Amino acid sequence: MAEVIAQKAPPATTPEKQIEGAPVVVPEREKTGVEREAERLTPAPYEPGTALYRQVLPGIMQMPVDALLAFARESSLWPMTFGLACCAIEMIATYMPHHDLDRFGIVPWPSPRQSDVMIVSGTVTKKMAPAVKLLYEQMPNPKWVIAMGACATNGGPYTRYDRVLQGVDKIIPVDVYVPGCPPRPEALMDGFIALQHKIMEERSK
Amino acid sequence: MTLPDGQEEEAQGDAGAAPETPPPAEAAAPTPKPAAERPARPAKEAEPKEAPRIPPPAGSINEILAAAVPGVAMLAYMVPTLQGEAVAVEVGRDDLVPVMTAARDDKRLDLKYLRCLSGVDWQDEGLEVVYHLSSFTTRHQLTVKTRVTYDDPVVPSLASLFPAANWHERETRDMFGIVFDGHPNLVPLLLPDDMTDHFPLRKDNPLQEIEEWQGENLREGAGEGEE
Amino acid sequence: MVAEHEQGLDIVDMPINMGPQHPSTHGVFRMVLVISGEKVVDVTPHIGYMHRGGEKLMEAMDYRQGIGYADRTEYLAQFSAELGYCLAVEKLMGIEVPERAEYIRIILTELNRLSSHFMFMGAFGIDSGLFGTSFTYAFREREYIQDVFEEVSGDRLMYAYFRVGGLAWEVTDNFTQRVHEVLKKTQKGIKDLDDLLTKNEIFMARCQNIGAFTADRAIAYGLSGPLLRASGVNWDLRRDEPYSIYPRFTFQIPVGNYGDVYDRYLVRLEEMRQSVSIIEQALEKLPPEGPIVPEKMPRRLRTPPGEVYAKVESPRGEWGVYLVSKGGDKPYRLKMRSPSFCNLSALREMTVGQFLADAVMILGSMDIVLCDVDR
Repeated sequence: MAEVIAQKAPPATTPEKQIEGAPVVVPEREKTGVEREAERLTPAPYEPGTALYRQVLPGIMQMPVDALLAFARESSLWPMTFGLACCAIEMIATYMPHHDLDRFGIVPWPSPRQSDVMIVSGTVTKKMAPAVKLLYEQMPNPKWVIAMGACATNGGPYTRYDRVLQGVDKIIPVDVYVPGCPPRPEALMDGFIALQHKIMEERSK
Repeated sequence: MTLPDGQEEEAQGDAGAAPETPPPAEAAAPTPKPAAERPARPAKEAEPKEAPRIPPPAGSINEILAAAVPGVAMLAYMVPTLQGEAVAVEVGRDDLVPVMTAARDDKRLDLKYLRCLSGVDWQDEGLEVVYHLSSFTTRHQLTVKTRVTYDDPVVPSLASLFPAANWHERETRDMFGIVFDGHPNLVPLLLPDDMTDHFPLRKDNPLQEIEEWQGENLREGAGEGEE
Repeated sequence: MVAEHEQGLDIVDMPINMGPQHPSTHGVFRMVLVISGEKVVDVTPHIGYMHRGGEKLMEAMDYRQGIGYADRTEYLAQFSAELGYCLAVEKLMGIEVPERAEYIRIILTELNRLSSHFMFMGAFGIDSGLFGTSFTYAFREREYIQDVFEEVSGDRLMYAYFRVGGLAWEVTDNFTQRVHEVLKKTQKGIKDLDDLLTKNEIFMARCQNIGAFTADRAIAYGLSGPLLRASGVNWDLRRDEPYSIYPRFTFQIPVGNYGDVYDRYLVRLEEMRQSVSIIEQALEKLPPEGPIVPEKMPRRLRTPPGEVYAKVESPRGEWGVYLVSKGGDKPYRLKMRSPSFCNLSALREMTVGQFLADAVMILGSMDIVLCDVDR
């Protein structure tokens, strides 16, 4: 393609005085749009077998199956959106682009049947407790629970009221407690990373 | 910084209570004055237990109300608000519905906006229900209170007069046990259905203690590891 | 209700449970809707899933600890709640708040109104079908405002910065600059959300003529705030029953015509612009130096016996504190008149007769905060 274009190019202008023996200087002219496009579309030279990832990682990766499964599970934890009270606002703020949780693979999912983690964010009252237990039982295994905030850990500032459940671990088993009232988004991210470590450590259970 | 009177009294009391033990020579404690020279302490009983009931000035809306419902015994006084003071009226339980109807329908009062309905538990003096009314057109504000005893905590319901009272009365019944007679749907609002036997906001209902068995429900191996 | 069909089939109204956990972010609220086809025939709201006894616990806390509880009750407009609480106690004790503290309080309360309305825009956009776009816009603006709050008070969400008599501590040195920066960004944010939602055909079709509520019914149900103003009642506590130093600022009150969901959205949008104007006026008039607590501040906060009903205009409506004191350093009875509770009581009348999808919009337009409803 490039040779065809070169034949049809107009001749270069010659200088006014031509000195014997001196080379003819042909000024650079701008490439036409067609030429630029042709350059762009010409594939770069490539030899098979030289891709970067093949040089970094060999073709076969060895990993125990339980580590692979744990790695897969921890890299894509889908929490059920279970915002109860004020901690829900900080949980939402952690999902939002300022402190992004999506980069960890954490996507909020409304349905309990398709989620991995339940973040209990907020006070659990005795009226709400059966619903919490039901939602926990609706989640398929493997599932984890993060108790976010002081209220979910042990009742928090409302612990002395007799209609408040003093901590969600009275009804469901909790894996990670994130303290704070409400915990900062960075603290919740730390809680998720702690959960990821826990999943990797407990992978053979 | 000036301390309130209570602390000054205590300081004097401590200094006055140690005439028997002679102060040590090194301490710079002042020698307590003999009893005859001590200034008279204000008696602790002089602290007011109740706010003084200032009767409202002439021309306040309680006169319009009294004229609208003749024959009703009401005690009127002023209560503070952020903008000054407003009139509060205490009526008996049986006069409540006529008074509230007059407050709402009388054109000079036009108190159509029920802002707040709350219960208060005065332990020996019974239970009280407080209604805050106000008007958009005449800019009046009125507080109506009525008191019932523990044995007979029944108050006529205002849900037909003020639809705003509907949920407030359900909540007050949950919290205090005051039964609103004539309420269309007096079911528990805030409390769980199986926990409505004792009333949380009454003074004889204590706060619960913090239970210590947090650790029993943790799974095995929890708490170990570096995090 | 059973209707006989021609071919002998029975048509029965179906009860649907929008349970305590549902994907919209309003919190734990349960509605049992009975629908006939797509039209809602009956609605029974069930609340109380977040009833944590704030009122009872505040009777056991003194006047400094109670500020934290007021925060946690109204968790999107915390400064309004703190302001109401502090004003009630200050009125009973007869304390006068110094000028500089008053101005800073107003600036922070109006900034909080902005951040609460941003949250409303975000959540309302989601209710109307935008899957997360308006939320990300709204939270971007909220993060700027929350940065200022964090610099001033130390916490991102539960500030507990107001104290009885003034403020807890002095603001940072660059407070005025920071608020100016934030206002610039916020004005751009308001414009962004406005461009995204207001003239959007789908949004307008989803919002107009839904849940219309006349002024008489609104007054009878005790509604307040943007819901009352959207129904045509020209009432705002900041102008009509002023507290603090609001009489020194000039601002307009947006009032709607139809009382439907679109009007409520427009009223809140315009309120945001008015809040920006109030903050700018307050920043100009802010005294550069001055005390933030009165000089003769008693060490132990004891109120004389008495009662007061203090009401402030929170972004949701009229937040009132009915404080009964029998002397001592703890309240005897503290009732929080929460706007969300009163606004929610009108849900049934607004929703019956509308379509099922509109029920979600109506609930979203009320901008309820469940901790406020259940206290």
